[in-house]
Amino acid sequence: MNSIERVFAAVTGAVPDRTPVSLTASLYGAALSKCPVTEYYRKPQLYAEGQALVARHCNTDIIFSPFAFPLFAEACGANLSFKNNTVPVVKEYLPYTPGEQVNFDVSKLISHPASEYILQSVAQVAKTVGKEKIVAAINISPCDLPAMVFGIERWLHTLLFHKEEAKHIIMNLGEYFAEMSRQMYQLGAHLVATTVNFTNPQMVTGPVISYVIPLLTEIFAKVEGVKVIHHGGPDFDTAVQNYLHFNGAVGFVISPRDKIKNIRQLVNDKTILGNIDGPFIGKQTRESVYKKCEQILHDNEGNTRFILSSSNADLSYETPLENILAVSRAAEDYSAK
Amino acid sequence: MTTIAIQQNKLMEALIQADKEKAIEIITEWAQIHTYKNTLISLFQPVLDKFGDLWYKGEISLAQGYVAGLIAEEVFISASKSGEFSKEDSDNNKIAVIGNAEDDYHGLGRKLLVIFLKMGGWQIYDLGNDVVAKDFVDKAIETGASVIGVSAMMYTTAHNIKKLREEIDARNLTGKIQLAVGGAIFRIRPELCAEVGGDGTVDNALEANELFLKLKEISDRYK
Repeated sequence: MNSIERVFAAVTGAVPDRTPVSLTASLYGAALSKCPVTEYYRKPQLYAEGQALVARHCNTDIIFSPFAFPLFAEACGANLSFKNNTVPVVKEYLPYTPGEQVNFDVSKLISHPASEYILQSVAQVAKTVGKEKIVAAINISPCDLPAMVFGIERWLHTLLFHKEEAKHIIMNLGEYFAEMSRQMYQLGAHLVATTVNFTNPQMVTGPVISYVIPLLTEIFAKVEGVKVIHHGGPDFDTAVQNYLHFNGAVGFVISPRDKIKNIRQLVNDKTILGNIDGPFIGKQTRESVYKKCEQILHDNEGNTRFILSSSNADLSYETPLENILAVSRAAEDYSAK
Repeated sequence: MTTIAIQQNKLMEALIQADKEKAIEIITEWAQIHTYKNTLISLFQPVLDKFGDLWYKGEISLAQGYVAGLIAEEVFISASKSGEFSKEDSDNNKIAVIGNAEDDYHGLGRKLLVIFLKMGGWQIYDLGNDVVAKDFVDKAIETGASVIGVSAMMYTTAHNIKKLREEIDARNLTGKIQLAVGGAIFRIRPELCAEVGGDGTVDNALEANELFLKLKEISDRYK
Protein backbone atom coordinates (compact mmCIF):
# COMPACT_ATOMS: atom_id res chain seq x y z
CA MET A 1 0.00 0.00 0.00
CA ASN A 2 1.17 3.54 -0.57
CA SER A 3 0.43 6.30 1.92
CA ILE A 4 -2.80 7.36 0.24
CA GLU A 5 -4.20 3.83 0.19
CA ARG A 6 -3.09 3.28 3.78
CA VAL A 7 -4.79 6.40 5.13
CA PHE A 8 -7.88 5.74 3.00
CA ALA A 9 -8.11 2.26 4.56
CA ALA A 10 -7.90 3.75 8.06
CA VAL A 11 -10.72 6.14 7.25
CA THR A 12 -13.03 3.62 5.59
CA GLY A 13 -12.52 0.81 8.07
CA ALA A 14 -10.57 -1.42 5.68
CA VAL A 15 -7.39 -3.13 6.89
CA PRO A 16 -4.21 -1.17 6.12
CA ASP A 17 -0.86 -2.95 5.69
CA ARG A 18 0.25 -1.11 8.82
CA THR A 19 -1.11 1.68 10.98
CA PRO A 20 -0.70 4.95 9.06
CA VAL A 21 1.49 7.67 10.56
CA SER A 22 0.81 11.39 10.61
CA LEU A 23 3.26 13.96 11.97
CA THR A 24 2.57 17.67 11.82
CA ALA A 25 6.03 18.54 10.60
CA SER A 26 5.12 21.84 9.03
CA LEU A 27 7.91 23.87 10.67
CA TYR A 28 10.24 20.88 10.50
CA GLY A 29 10.42 21.27 6.73
CA ALA A 30 12.32 24.51 7.34
CA ALA A 31 14.74 22.65 9.59
CA LEU A 32 15.37 20.00 6.92
CA SER A 33 15.79 22.52 4.11
CA LYS A 34 17.68 24.98 6.35
CA CYS A 35 15.38 27.70 5.10
CA PRO A 36 14.94 30.84 7.27
CA VAL A 37 11.37 31.00 8.57
CA THR A 38 11.04 34.55 7.25
CA GLU A 39 11.19 33.05 3.75
CA TYR A 40 9.67 29.67 4.51
CA TYR A 41 6.38 31.22 5.65
CA ARG A 42 6.31 33.70 2.78
CA LYS A 43 7.30 31.73 -0.33
CA PRO A 44 5.11 28.73 -1.21
CA GLN A 45 7.83 27.13 -3.32
CA LEU A 46 10.24 27.09 -0.36
CA TYR A 47 7.53 25.70 1.90
CA ALA A 48 6.83 22.91 -0.59
CA GLU A 49 10.55 22.11 -0.89
CA GLY A 50 10.69 21.72 2.89
CA GLN A 51 7.66 19.43 2.86
CA ALA A 52 9.16 17.38 0.06
CA LEU A 53 12.07 16.71 2.42
CA VAL A 54 9.63 15.79 5.18
CA ALA A 55 7.98 13.35 2.78
CA ARG A 56 11.35 11.90 1.82
CA HIS A 57 12.95 11.61 5.27
CA CYS A 58 10.25 11.40 7.96
CA ASN A 59 8.27 8.35 6.79
CA THR A 60 4.93 10.02 7.47
CA ASP A 61 1.82 9.28 5.41
CA ILE A 62 0.31 12.77 5.65
CA ILE A 63 1.95 16.04 4.63
CA PHE A 64 0.57 19.34 5.86
CA SER A 65 0.15 22.82 4.50
CA PRO A 66 1.49 25.60 6.80
CA PHE A 67 0.45 25.00 10.41
CA ALA A 68 0.62 28.71 11.18
CA PHE A 69 -2.70 30.16 12.33
CA PRO A 70 -1.22 33.64 12.76
CA LEU A 71 -1.02 33.87 8.96
CA PHE A 72 -4.83 33.74 8.82
CA ALA A 73 -4.94 36.46 11.48
CA GLU A 74 -2.55 38.52 9.38
CA ALA A 75 -5.00 38.35 6.48
CA CYS A 76 -7.57 39.85 8.87
CA GLY A 77 -5.31 42.73 9.91
CA ALA A 78 -3.14 41.46 12.77
CA ASN A 79 0.62 42.08 12.73
CA LEU A 80 3.08 39.23 13.07
CA SER A 81 6.50 38.75 14.55
CA PHE A 82 9.01 36.33 13.01
CA LYS A 83 11.73 34.78 15.15
CA ASN A 84 14.35 32.22 14.24
CA ASN A 85 13.34 28.58 14.04
CA THR A 86 9.77 28.98 15.14
CA VAL A 87 6.30 29.67 13.75
CA PRO A 88 5.39 33.38 13.45
CA VAL A 89 3.25 34.78 16.28
CA VAL A 90 0.73 37.61 16.46
CA LYS A 91 2.44 40.55 18.11
CA GLU A 92 -0.29 43.14 17.55
CA TYR A 93 -3.98 42.36 17.46
CA LEU A 94 -6.54 44.22 15.42
CA PRO A 95 -7.99 47.12 17.45
CA TYR A 96 -11.37 45.95 18.69
CA THR A 97 -13.77 46.56 21.57
CA PRO A 98 -15.92 43.58 22.59
CA GLY A 99 -19.44 44.09 21.38
CA GLU A 100 -18.38 46.26 18.47
CA GLN A 101 -19.90 45.48 15.06
CA VAL A 102 -17.20 44.09 12.77
CA ASN A 103 -17.51 43.26 9.09
CA PHE A 104 -14.64 41.67 7.25
CA ASP A 105 -14.67 41.91 3.47
CA VAL A 106 -14.16 38.24 2.67
CA SER A 107 -12.94 38.86 -0.88
CA LYS A 108 -10.16 41.05 0.56
CA LEU A 109 -9.26 38.39 3.10
CA ILE A 110 -9.00 35.77 0.36
CA SER A 111 -6.84 37.97 -1.85
CA HIS A 112 -4.55 39.05 1.01
CA PRO A 113 -0.93 37.93 0.45
CA ALA A 114 -1.06 35.76 3.60
CA SER A 115 -4.08 33.83 2.28
CA GLU A 116 -2.46 33.65 -1.13
CA TYR A 117 0.65 32.18 0.47
CA ILE A 118 -1.41 29.54 2.31
CA LEU A 119 -3.36 28.55 -0.79
CA GLN A 120 -0.33 28.46 -3.06
CA SER A 121 1.50 26.37 -0.46
CA VAL A 122 -1.34 23.85 -0.64
CA ALA A 123 -1.05 23.84 -4.43
CA GLN A 124 2.73 23.44 -4.41
CA VAL A 125 2.70 20.71 -1.77
CA ALA A 126 -0.02 18.85 -3.68
CA LYS A 127 1.97 19.17 -6.90
CA THR A 128 5.17 17.97 -5.22
CA VAL A 129 3.97 15.07 -3.06
CA GLY A 130 0.23 14.79 -3.63
CA LYS A 131 0.40 11.64 -5.75
CA GLU A 132 2.15 9.63 -3.04
CA LYS A 133 1.11 11.27 0.24
CA ILE A 134 -2.15 12.52 1.70
CA VAL A 135 -2.12 16.34 1.61
CA ALA A 136 -3.81 17.89 4.64
CA ALA A 137 -4.62 21.57 4.34
CA ILE A 138 -4.80 23.36 7.67
CA ASN A 139 -7.55 25.92 8.03
CA ILE A 140 -8.64 27.78 11.15
CA SER A 141 -12.29 27.62 12.10
CA PRO A 142 -14.30 30.83 12.45
CA CYS A 143 -14.79 30.26 16.18
CA ASP A 144 -11.01 30.24 16.78
CA LEU A 145 -9.78 32.81 14.27
CA PRO A 146 -11.18 35.82 16.18
CA ALA A 147 -8.99 34.89 19.17
CA MET A 148 -5.95 35.21 16.91
CA VAL A 149 -7.22 38.46 15.39
CA PHE A 150 -8.51 40.25 18.51
CA GLY A 151 -6.72 38.36 21.29
CA ILE A 152 -8.10 35.58 23.49
CA GLU A 153 -9.38 37.89 26.20
CA ARG A 154 -11.44 40.11 23.94
CA TRP A 155 -12.86 37.19 21.97
CA LEU A 156 -13.77 35.35 25.15
CA HIS A 157 -15.48 38.48 26.45
CA THR A 158 -17.45 38.81 23.21
CA LEU A 159 -18.53 35.17 23.28
CA LEU A 160 -19.67 35.48 26.89
CA PHE A 161 -21.31 38.89 26.95
CA HIS A 162 -22.09 39.90 23.34
CA LYS A 163 -23.74 36.87 21.83
CA GLU A 164 -25.26 38.53 18.75
CA GLU A 165 -22.00 40.25 17.78
CA ALA A 166 -20.11 37.00 18.34
CA LYS A 167 -22.54 35.13 16.10
CA HIS A 168 -22.14 37.77 13.42
CA ILE A 169 -18.33 37.56 13.52
CA ILE A 170 -18.39 33.75 13.36
CA MET A 171 -20.73 33.74 10.37
CA ASN A 172 -18.72 36.48 8.66
CA LEU A 173 -15.41 34.64 9.14
CA GLY A 174 -17.26 31.43 8.34
CA GLU A 175 -17.46 32.65 4.74
CA TYR A 176 -13.68 33.05 4.74
CA PHE A 177 -13.26 29.56 6.21
CA ALA A 178 -15.61 28.06 3.63
CA GLU A 179 -14.00 29.77 0.66
CA MET A 180 -10.47 28.94 1.81
CA SER A 181 -11.52 25.30 2.31
CA ARG A 182 -13.11 25.11 -1.14
CA GLN A 183 -9.99 26.48 -2.77
CA MET A 184 -7.77 24.15 -0.73
CA TYR A 185 -9.64 21.13 -2.07
CA GLN A 186 -9.53 22.50 -5.60
CA LEU A 187 -5.79 23.02 -5.33
CA GLY A 188 -5.18 19.40 -4.41
CA ALA A 189 -5.78 18.93 -0.67
CA HIS A 190 -7.21 15.52 0.18
CA LEU A 191 -8.60 16.83 3.45
CA VAL A 192 -8.95 19.98 5.52
CA ALA A 193 -7.90 19.92 9.17
CA THR A 194 -9.22 22.48 11.60
CA THR A 195 -9.59 23.25 15.30
CA VAL A 196 -12.72 24.28 17.22
CA ASN A 197 -11.17 25.28 20.55
CA PHE A 198 -13.84 27.80 21.49
CA THR A 199 -16.50 25.10 21.60
CA ASN A 200 -14.63 22.97 24.12
CA PRO A 201 -15.96 22.80 27.72
CA GLN A 202 -12.40 23.36 28.95
CA MET A 203 -12.44 26.71 27.17
CA VAL A 204 -15.97 28.10 27.23
CA THR A 205 -19.27 27.72 29.05
CA GLY A 206 -22.24 25.54 28.10
CA PRO A 207 -24.38 28.46 26.84
CA VAL A 208 -21.57 29.56 24.50
CA ILE A 209 -21.15 26.03 23.16
CA SER A 210 -24.88 25.74 22.58
CA TYR A 211 -25.00 28.72 20.24
CA VAL A 212 -21.63 28.28 18.50
CA ILE A 213 -22.04 24.61 17.51
CA PRO A 214 -25.12 25.25 15.30
CA LEU A 215 -23.25 28.06 13.54
CA LEU A 216 -20.30 25.78 12.82
CA THR A 217 -22.69 23.06 11.66
CA GLU A 218 -24.16 25.52 9.16
CA ILE A 219 -20.73 26.70 7.98
CA PHE A 220 -19.30 23.18 7.64
CA ALA A 221 -22.38 22.19 5.64
CA LYS A 222 -21.41 24.75 3.00
CA VAL A 223 -18.17 22.93 2.24
CA GLU A 224 -18.08 19.44 0.78
CA GLY A 225 -14.97 17.40 1.42
CA VAL A 226 -13.18 15.34 4.02
CA LYS A 227 -12.47 17.12 7.29
CA VAL A 228 -10.42 16.24 10.34
CA ILE A 229 -11.09 18.05 13.61
CA HIS A 230 -7.99 18.69 15.73
CA HIS A 231 -8.26 19.03 19.51
CA GLY A 232 -6.22 22.26 19.45
CA GLY A 233 -5.03 22.48 23.05
CA PRO A 234 -7.80 21.16 25.32
CA ASP A 235 -8.86 17.51 25.65
CA PHE A 236 -11.57 15.97 23.49
CA ASP A 237 -13.22 13.56 25.93
CA THR A 238 -15.99 15.97 26.89
CA ALA A 239 -16.21 17.71 23.52
CA VAL A 240 -15.86 15.34 20.60
CA GLN A 241 -19.47 14.15 20.60
CA ASN A 242 -20.49 17.69 19.60
CA TYR A 243 -18.54 17.41 16.34
CA LEU A 244 -19.58 13.99 15.03
CA HIS A 245 -22.33 15.45 12.87
CA PHE A 246 -20.16 18.09 11.16
CA ASN A 247 -20.41 17.69 7.40
CA GLY A 248 -17.46 15.62 6.14
CA ALA A 249 -15.88 15.05 9.56
CA VAL A 250 -14.22 11.66 9.29
CA GLY A 251 -11.50 11.88 11.91
CA PHE A 252 -10.48 13.48 15.18
CA VAL A 253 -7.00 14.31 16.42
CA ILE A 254 -7.19 13.73 20.17
CA SER A 255 -5.03 15.25 22.90
CA PRO A 256 -2.09 13.44 24.51
CA ARG A 257 -4.14 13.24 27.72
CA ASP A 258 -7.22 11.70 26.10
CA LYS A 259 -7.78 7.98 26.61
CA ILE A 260 -8.18 6.26 23.25
CA LYS A 261 -10.62 3.68 24.62
CA ASN A 262 -12.89 6.41 26.02
CA ILE A 263 -12.82 8.40 22.79
CA ARG A 264 -13.49 5.28 20.73
CA GLN A 265 -16.77 4.75 22.57
CA LEU A 266 -17.78 8.30 21.68
CA VAL A 267 -16.80 8.43 18.00
CA ASN A 268 -17.95 4.95 16.90
CA ASP A 269 -16.95 4.49 13.25
CA LYS A 270 -14.95 7.71 12.89
CA THR A 271 -11.17 7.61 12.71
CA ILE A 272 -9.04 8.57 15.69
CA LEU A 273 -5.68 10.25 15.18
CA GLY A 274 -3.28 10.53 18.08
CA ASN A 275 -1.87 10.97 20.47
CA ILE A 276 1.86 11.54 20.74
CA ASP A 277 2.68 14.96 22.12
CA GLY A 278 4.15 16.57 18.96
CA PRO A 279 6.33 19.36 20.38
CA PHE A 280 7.86 17.03 22.93
CA ILE A 281 8.95 14.28 20.54
CA GLY A 282 12.12 16.30 20.28
CA LYS A 283 12.63 16.42 24.05
CA GLN A 284 12.60 12.65 24.52
CA THR A 285 14.93 9.86 23.48
CA ARG A 286 14.10 7.82 20.41
CA GLU A 287 13.58 4.81 22.73
CA SER A 288 11.00 6.65 24.81
CA VAL A 289 9.23 7.92 21.68
CA TYR A 290 9.14 4.34 20.39
CA LYS A 291 7.78 3.02 23.70
CA LYS A 292 5.13 5.72 23.85
CA CYS A 293 4.01 4.85 20.33
CA GLU A 294 3.90 1.14 21.23
CA GLN A 295 1.69 1.99 24.19
CA ILE A 296 -0.65 4.06 22.02
CA LEU A 297 -0.88 1.29 19.42
CA HIS A 298 -1.61 -1.18 22.18
CA ASP A 299 -4.36 1.08 23.55
CA ASN A 300 -5.97 1.06 20.11
CA GLU A 301 -5.66 -2.72 19.69
CA GLY A 302 -8.38 -4.22 17.51
CA ASN A 303 -9.51 -1.11 15.64
CA THR A 304 -8.20 -0.23 12.21
CA ARG A 305 -9.82 3.20 12.12
CA PHE A 306 -6.73 4.71 13.64
CA ILE A 307 -3.77 6.83 12.56
CA LEU A 308 -0.72 7.07 14.80
CA SER A 309 -0.36 10.82 14.90
CA SER A 310 1.23 13.73 16.68
CA SER A 311 -1.15 15.83 18.79
CA ASN A 312 -0.91 19.35 20.18
CA ALA A 313 1.20 21.79 18.12
CA ASP A 314 3.78 21.31 15.39
CA LEU A 315 6.95 19.29 15.91
CA SER A 316 9.68 21.58 17.14
CA TYR A 317 12.46 22.74 14.86
CA GLU A 318 15.17 20.98 16.87
CA THR A 319 13.55 17.52 16.89
CA PRO A 320 16.16 14.83 16.11
CA LEU A 321 15.24 12.93 12.95
CA GLU A 322 15.87 9.62 14.74
CA ASN A 323 13.06 10.48 17.19
CA ILE A 324 10.71 11.17 14.29
CA LEU A 325 11.61 7.90 12.61
CA ALA A 326 10.94 6.04 15.87
CA VAL A 327 7.23 6.75 15.28
CA SER A 328 6.95 4.97 11.94
CA ARG A 329 9.29 2.21 13.16
CA ALA A 330 6.91 1.54 16.05
CA ALA A 331 3.96 1.39 13.63
CA GLU A 332 5.81 -1.01 11.31
CA ASP A 333 7.04 -3.26 14.13
CA TYR A 334 3.62 -3.35 15.76
CA SER A 335 1.93 -4.40 12.53
CA ALA A 336 4.57 -7.05 11.90
CA LYS A 337 3.83 -8.73 15.24
CA MET B 1 -27.15 25.39 57.02
CA THR B 2 -25.97 28.80 58.27
CA THR B 3 -26.78 32.02 56.43
CA ILE B 4 -23.16 32.46 55.36
CA ALA B 5 -23.02 28.89 54.07
CA ILE B 6 -26.15 29.50 52.00
CA GLN B 7 -24.64 32.67 50.54
CA GLN B 8 -21.38 30.86 49.82
CA ASN B 9 -23.29 28.18 47.91
CA LYS B 10 -25.21 30.81 45.94
CA LEU B 11 -21.99 32.64 45.08
CA MET B 12 -20.28 29.41 44.09
CA GLU B 13 -23.19 28.60 41.79
CA ALA B 14 -22.95 32.05 40.20
CA LEU B 15 -19.21 31.56 39.60
CA ILE B 16 -19.80 28.12 38.07
CA GLN B 17 -22.48 29.58 35.81
CA ALA B 18 -20.07 32.43 34.92
CA ASP B 19 -22.93 34.72 35.97
CA LYS B 20 -21.06 37.92 36.72
CA GLU B 21 -24.10 40.08 37.55
CA LYS B 22 -25.53 37.56 40.00
CA ALA B 23 -22.17 37.10 41.74
CA ILE B 24 -21.64 40.85 42.11
CA GLU B 25 -25.18 41.21 43.44
CA ILE B 26 -24.63 38.53 46.11
CA ILE B 27 -21.32 40.06 47.19
CA THR B 28 -22.58 43.64 47.20
CA GLU B 29 -25.69 42.81 49.22
CA TRP B 30 -23.62 40.97 51.82
CA ALA B 31 -21.09 43.80 51.98
CA GLN B 32 -23.80 46.41 52.55
CA ILE B 33 -24.87 44.57 55.69
CA HIS B 34 -21.61 43.04 56.89
CA THR B 35 -18.87 45.35 55.47
CA TYR B 36 -16.41 44.55 52.67
CA LYS B 37 -13.82 43.30 55.13
CA ASN B 38 -16.20 40.67 56.42
CA THR B 39 -17.37 39.87 52.89
CA LEU B 40 -13.88 39.28 51.57
CA ILE B 41 -12.88 37.09 54.52
CA SER B 42 -16.10 35.18 55.19
CA LEU B 43 -17.81 35.00 51.84
CA PHE B 44 -15.62 35.66 48.81
CA GLN B 45 -12.29 34.14 49.81
CA PRO B 46 -13.68 30.76 50.98
CA VAL B 47 -15.67 30.48 47.75
CA LEU B 48 -12.63 31.41 45.66
CA ASP B 49 -10.65 28.73 47.50
CA LYS B 50 -13.20 26.09 46.53
CA PHE B 51 -13.34 27.47 43.00
CA GLY B 52 -9.54 27.24 42.85
CA ASP B 53 -9.70 23.58 43.88
CA LEU B 54 -12.06 22.87 40.97
CA TRP B 55 -9.79 24.82 38.64
CA TYR B 56 -6.84 22.75 39.82
CA LYS B 57 -8.79 19.57 39.03
CA GLY B 58 -9.46 20.83 35.51
CA GLU B 59 -13.18 21.26 36.15
CA ILE B 60 -13.24 24.98 35.45
CA SER B 61 -13.13 26.35 31.92
CA LEU B 62 -10.99 29.25 30.79
CA ALA B 63 -14.21 31.28 30.44
CA GLN B 64 -15.31 30.57 34.02
CA GLY B 65 -11.85 31.55 35.27
CA TYR B 66 -11.99 34.71 33.19
CA VAL B 67 -15.39 35.71 34.62
CA ALA B 68 -14.18 34.98 38.16
CA GLY B 69 -11.33 37.40 37.43
CA LEU B 70 -13.76 40.08 36.27
CA ILE B 71 -15.83 39.61 39.42
CA ALA B 72 -12.75 39.78 41.64
CA GLU B 73 -11.58 42.94 39.88
CA GLU B 74 -14.94 44.65 40.39
CA VAL B 75 -15.16 43.58 44.03
CA PHE B 76 -11.60 44.74 44.60
CA ILE B 77 -12.42 48.20 43.20
CA SER B 78 -15.63 48.49 45.26
CA ALA B 79 -13.83 47.37 48.41
CA SER B 80 -11.06 49.91 47.81
CA LYS B 81 -13.62 52.69 47.42
CA SER B 82 -15.56 51.66 50.54
CA GLY B 83 -13.16 53.48 52.86
CA GLU B 84 -12.90 50.39 55.07
CA PHE B 85 -9.29 49.74 54.18
CA SER B 86 -6.57 51.97 55.55
CA LYS B 87 -2.91 52.06 54.62
CA GLU B 88 -2.18 49.70 57.51
CA ASP B 89 -4.16 47.01 55.71
CA SER B 90 -1.77 46.88 52.80
CA ASP B 91 1.59 45.30 53.27
CA ASN B 92 4.21 47.52 51.71
CA ASN B 93 6.68 44.65 51.62
CA LYS B 94 4.61 42.47 49.32
CA ILE B 95 5.90 43.75 45.99
CA ALA B 96 6.00 41.82 42.72
CA VAL B 97 6.81 42.54 39.09
CA ILE B 98 4.62 40.77 36.54
CA GLY B 99 4.82 40.37 32.78
CA ASN B 100 4.61 38.04 29.82
CA ALA B 101 7.82 36.41 28.65
CA GLU B 102 9.73 37.84 25.72
CA ASP B 103 7.78 37.24 22.47
CA ASP B 104 4.67 36.19 24.39
CA TYR B 105 1.56 38.23 23.61
CA HIS B 106 -1.10 36.20 25.44
CA GLY B 107 -2.01 38.52 28.28
CA LEU B 108 -5.17 36.95 29.70
CA GLY B 109 -3.44 34.76 32.30
CA ARG B 110 -1.26 37.66 33.39
CA LYS B 111 -4.24 39.93 33.89
CA LEU B 112 -5.99 37.34 36.05
CA LEU B 113 -2.78 36.93 38.02
CA VAL B 114 -2.62 40.67 38.68
CA ILE B 115 -6.23 40.75 39.90
CA PHE B 116 -5.86 37.87 42.35
CA LEU B 117 -2.48 39.04 43.64
CA LYS B 118 -3.90 42.52 44.29
CA MET B 119 -6.69 40.88 46.24
CA GLY B 120 -3.98 39.21 48.30
CA GLY B 121 -2.57 42.62 49.17
CA TRP B 122 0.36 42.68 46.73
CA GLN B 123 1.69 45.83 45.12
CA ILE B 124 1.97 44.85 41.49
CA TYR B 125 4.04 46.38 38.72
CA ASP B 126 2.58 44.97 35.51
CA LEU B 127 4.98 45.33 32.57
CA GLY B 128 2.58 43.86 29.98
CA ASN B 129 3.38 41.58 27.05
CA ASP B 130 6.73 40.71 25.45
CA VAL B 131 9.01 41.81 28.30
CA VAL B 132 12.75 41.28 27.94
CA ALA B 133 14.81 39.91 30.83
CA LYS B 134 16.65 43.16 31.54
CA ASP B 135 13.39 45.13 31.95
CA PHE B 136 12.03 42.61 34.45
CA VAL B 137 15.14 42.79 36.62
CA ASP B 138 15.53 46.57 36.33
CA LYS B 139 11.95 47.04 37.54
CA ALA B 140 12.38 44.55 40.37
CA ILE B 141 15.48 46.39 41.61
CA GLU B 142 13.81 49.80 41.26
CA THR B 143 10.71 48.76 43.23
CA GLY B 144 12.34 46.41 45.73
CA ALA B 145 10.25 43.50 44.49
CA SER B 146 10.97 40.10 45.97
CA VAL B 147 9.17 38.16 43.24
CA ILE B 148 9.10 38.37 39.46
CA GLY B 149 6.10 36.56 37.96
CA VAL B 150 6.34 35.56 34.29
CA SER B 151 3.55 34.19 32.16
CA ALA B 152 4.00 32.24 28.92
CA MET B 153 1.47 30.38 26.86
CA MET B 154 3.62 28.40 24.47
CA TYR B 155 6.64 26.18 24.78
CA THR B 156 8.81 28.40 22.62
CA THR B 157 8.09 31.57 24.58
CA ALA B 158 8.40 29.75 27.91
CA HIS B 159 11.97 28.98 26.94
CA ASN B 160 12.71 32.70 26.80
CA ILE B 161 12.33 32.68 30.60
CA LYS B 162 15.76 31.07 30.72
CA LYS B 163 17.18 34.46 29.73
CA LEU B 164 15.53 36.00 32.78
CA ARG B 165 17.00 33.29 35.03
CA GLU B 166 20.42 34.10 33.57
CA GLU B 167 19.89 37.84 34.06
CA ILE B 168 18.93 37.38 37.73
CA ASP B 169 21.93 35.14 38.35
CA ALA B 170 24.33 37.37 36.41
CA ARG B 171 23.42 40.33 38.64
CA ASN B 172 24.02 38.26 41.79
CA LEU B 173 20.35 38.41 42.71
CA THR B 174 19.86 34.64 42.92
CA GLY B 175 17.51 33.89 45.79
CA LYS B 176 16.93 37.53 46.57
CA ILE B 177 14.63 37.90 43.59
CA GLN B 178 12.45 34.83 43.25
CA LEU B 179 11.15 33.75 39.86
CA ALA B 180 7.55 32.51 39.60
CA VAL B 181 6.46 31.08 36.26
CA GLY B 182 3.04 30.15 34.92
CA GLY B 183 0.73 29.93 31.93
CA ALA B 184 -0.98 27.27 29.86
CA ILE B 185 2.17 25.38 28.92
CA PHE B 186 3.22 25.00 32.58
CA ARG B 187 -0.10 23.35 33.39
CA ILE B 188 0.56 20.79 30.70
CA ARG B 189 4.25 20.43 31.55
CA PRO B 190 4.95 21.38 35.21
CA GLU B 191 8.52 20.07 34.89
CA LEU B 192 9.14 22.95 32.49
CA CYS B 193 9.41 25.19 35.56
CA ALA B 194 12.75 23.64 36.53
CA GLU B 195 13.85 23.51 32.89
CA VAL B 196 13.55 27.28 32.48
CA GLY B 197 14.97 28.05 35.94
CA GLY B 198 11.75 28.97 37.74
CA ASP B 199 11.58 28.93 41.54
CA GLY B 200 7.95 27.88 41.57
CA THR B 201 4.76 27.53 39.56
CA VAL B 202 1.05 27.02 40.15
CA ASP B 203 -1.79 25.82 38.00
CA ASN B 204 -3.93 28.91 38.06
CA ALA B 205 -4.05 32.54 39.12
CA LEU B 206 -6.05 31.80 42.23
CA GLU B 207 -3.17 29.82 43.74
CA ALA B 208 -0.61 32.51 42.96
CA ASN B 209 -0.96 34.42 46.24
CA GLU B 210 0.11 31.37 48.24
CA LEU B 211 3.08 30.72 45.95
CA PHE B 212 4.18 34.34 46.01
CA LEU B 213 4.04 34.40 49.82
CA LYS B 214 6.27 31.31 49.98
CA LEU B 215 8.70 32.83 47.51
CA LYS B 216 8.75 36.09 49.46
CA GLU B 217 9.69 34.18 52.60
CA ILE B 218 12.61 32.61 50.77
CA SER B 219 13.62 35.96 49.32
CA ASP B 220 13.57 37.56 52.77
CA ARG B 221 16.18 35.08 53.99
CA TYR B 222 18.64 36.52 51.45
CA LYS B 223 18.18 40.12 52.61
